[in-house]
Amino acid sequence: MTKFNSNLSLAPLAVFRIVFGLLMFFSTLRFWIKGWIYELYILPDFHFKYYSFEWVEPLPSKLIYLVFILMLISSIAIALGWFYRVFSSLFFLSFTYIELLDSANYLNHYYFVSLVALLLVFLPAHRIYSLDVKAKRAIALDKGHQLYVNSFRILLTLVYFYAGLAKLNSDWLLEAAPLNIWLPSQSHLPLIGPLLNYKLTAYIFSWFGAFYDLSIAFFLWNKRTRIYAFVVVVIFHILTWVLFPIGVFPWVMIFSTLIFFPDSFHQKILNKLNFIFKNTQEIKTKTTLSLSPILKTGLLIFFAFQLIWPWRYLAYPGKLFWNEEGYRLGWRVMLMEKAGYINYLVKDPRTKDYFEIEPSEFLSPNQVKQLSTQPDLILQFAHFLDKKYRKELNIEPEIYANCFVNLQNKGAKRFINPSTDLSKIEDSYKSKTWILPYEY
Amino acid sequence: MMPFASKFIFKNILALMAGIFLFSGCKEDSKINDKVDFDRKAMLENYYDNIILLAFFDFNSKVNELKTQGSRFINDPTMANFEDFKSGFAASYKSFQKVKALEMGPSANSSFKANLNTYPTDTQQIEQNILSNLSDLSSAQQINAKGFPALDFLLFTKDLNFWTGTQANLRLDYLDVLLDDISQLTNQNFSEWESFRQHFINASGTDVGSSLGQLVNSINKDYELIKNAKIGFPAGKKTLGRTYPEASEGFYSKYLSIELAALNCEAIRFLYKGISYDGNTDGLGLEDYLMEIGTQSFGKPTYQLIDDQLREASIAIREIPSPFSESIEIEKDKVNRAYTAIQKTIISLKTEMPSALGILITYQDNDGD
Repeated sequence: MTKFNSNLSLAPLAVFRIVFGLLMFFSTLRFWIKGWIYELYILPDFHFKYYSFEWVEPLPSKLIYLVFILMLISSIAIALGWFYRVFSSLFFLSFTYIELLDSANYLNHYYFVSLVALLLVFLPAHRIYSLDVKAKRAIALDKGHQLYVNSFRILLTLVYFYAGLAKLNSDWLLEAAPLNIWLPSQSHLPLIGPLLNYKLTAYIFSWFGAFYDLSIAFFLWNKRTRIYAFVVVVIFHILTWVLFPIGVFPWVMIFSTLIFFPDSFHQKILNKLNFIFKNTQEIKTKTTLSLSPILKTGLLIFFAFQLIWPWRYLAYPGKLFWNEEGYRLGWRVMLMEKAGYINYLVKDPRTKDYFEIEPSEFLSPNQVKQLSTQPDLILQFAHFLDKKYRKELNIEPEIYANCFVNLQNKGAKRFINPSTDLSKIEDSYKSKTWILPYEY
Repeated sequence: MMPFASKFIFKNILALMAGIFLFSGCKEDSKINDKVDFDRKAMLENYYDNIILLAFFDFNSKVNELKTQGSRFINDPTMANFEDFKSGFAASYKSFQKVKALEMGPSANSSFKANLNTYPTDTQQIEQNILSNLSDLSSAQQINAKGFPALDFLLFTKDLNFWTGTQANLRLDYLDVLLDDISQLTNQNFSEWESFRQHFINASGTDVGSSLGQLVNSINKDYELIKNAKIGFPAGKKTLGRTYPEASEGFYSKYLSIELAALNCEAIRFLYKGISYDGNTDGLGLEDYLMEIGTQSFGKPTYQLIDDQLREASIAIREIPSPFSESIEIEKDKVNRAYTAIQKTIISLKTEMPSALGILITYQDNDGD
């Protein structure tokens, strides 16, 4: 039986650091090789901001590449534990900066990476098996306060559990949506392909998926079920990797859950890495690294935020999937099939003349896709057009959106009130009354 | 502490989910054997064998004929040869409308559409090219001075004297270069399509690179071009009401514009339905796939809705009197009606089809939001 407060070894943290650093290195490299730095951050004329983070501005394109180089270097430095505090901070800052550049690129797994990186900055993941210890820049310690290692276990638990809670909705459970749409589209796959055409398969996947998300972390905490749970983790995430274009996320989760394994498991891995981290310092086995009150308070605030923030959607009226008010930063993954169409009407109020704008004239296909279904982006782009034509045509334009959305494949419906002049609307945490109500 | 917590939570999760399951079980009406029963590979075979290859074959032969007629005129610029050449131009431009929605596979690689049909054409550039005896149109800067729009300008604004008087040789040379450019691109494209069957049919997934993904995306893009380039821009939809008749497709030949737009629209409808190129057989197509998926939209089956909208849009386009460049000013209602019909269709094409068929429209990672 693993006791919550007996987990004092820092070995799991060191392994986590190494694995995370390597994963980030390869996923950043993959991002670059696929040409996405150019496509997502350099090519578009316009980037969507995050509310309250409007001040984050894109750097000139050469410097954007430099930020990615910094990410590559710091991810390797994290893995090696080389000037760990400096590079874990730099990694967190550079990664989060890139994410904040364009909210059209939001993915839950990027948010997860940012959170993990933030925790790593403050946790002593470099106190054993690191180049810092080897070079005597850091004092070698192999024991620490239980929260050091458990922070990641708690975060993972939270992510899984909240992802599971989000699946407890009627679309997912009663209609098996959106898996009933997505699975048949993969029926060309070998072996499992033909099964994916059955509605029953979508139901089984949906129910199992919800159960998996809600329970897996607890099976991982439990010593007796852990190894079986891990096998399920591997199968589950590889299956999602095969079925859906979710990038490196499955691998991040598979490797992250290793942190639930006991100290001895991690120690074995670390022993194999002795050739890199060979330590000449004497490890102070008698000393336990304590948790400073400031860090304790910081972690408390961090987890309190994680617990509370996903629930903010309850403060908004209407259907969450339709309005998407309070949707992001809440571990809502694979929950909806949403496709939209939008173009804008720019009207000169003096002459009543107007013209139409197709967003694809300014935006990448991915940006257009996100724009066409997300109200806050729709508003931001309206403001971009307002500013642009105010200047170029010297008019006080009125901007209207002609927008239709098809949610869960139930047929397109008008999404944005076509008579609301969006140039006059300011974004805020208040509910957006110019979204037409969800009616099916 | 954790094992207790995990047991407690596990039991409650099970109880909760069992509760929901029982609750939902009462109103479950779908049968256990319900499934999507559709052969995507067979659909792709129909697309390749009965539509795409034949469409490109027809276009290729029309272009070869145009080349022959053009060469005859260049060697012997008589009135009769001039008229022949013009009719060959119309025939191949019309045939082009039936392949332009298929900018995928080989055609996407060669930027087929942009190379053959960028309009409005740059008449000054053309005059300049003639004077400088330009013999290579492959650079990107020449995209506005070649293809069908350039022929449209040269064949329909100049009379026979232009081709026989002073500088006639330079002018005829440019015609030759234009025709070579069109036919080389078309021949090359057709031969690539000829050997593309295996590749086309094997890419039977739904990702961006799959044949289905490419087909749906290229149909959508082309349909947007009908709205924006063929109708919208000339009719002033992009420019505070100021019209640009000279920007319409086939502006110089005048009476072709409407026919070209309607053919384009009708070809997309046939493509959607999976109707063979000769129009005789209705094989497996997107429409059948949507029928099998069985979604509803605006109160009717989605497959029906899209077919109706495509048909109504073609009809509305044909109701605009020719020449289009004049109707823009004097038949605004009819132009607007066509524009609205096209717009409605685009909404369905873009929101219903990719969703129903689970087709991706970008390569980026997503977490299914």
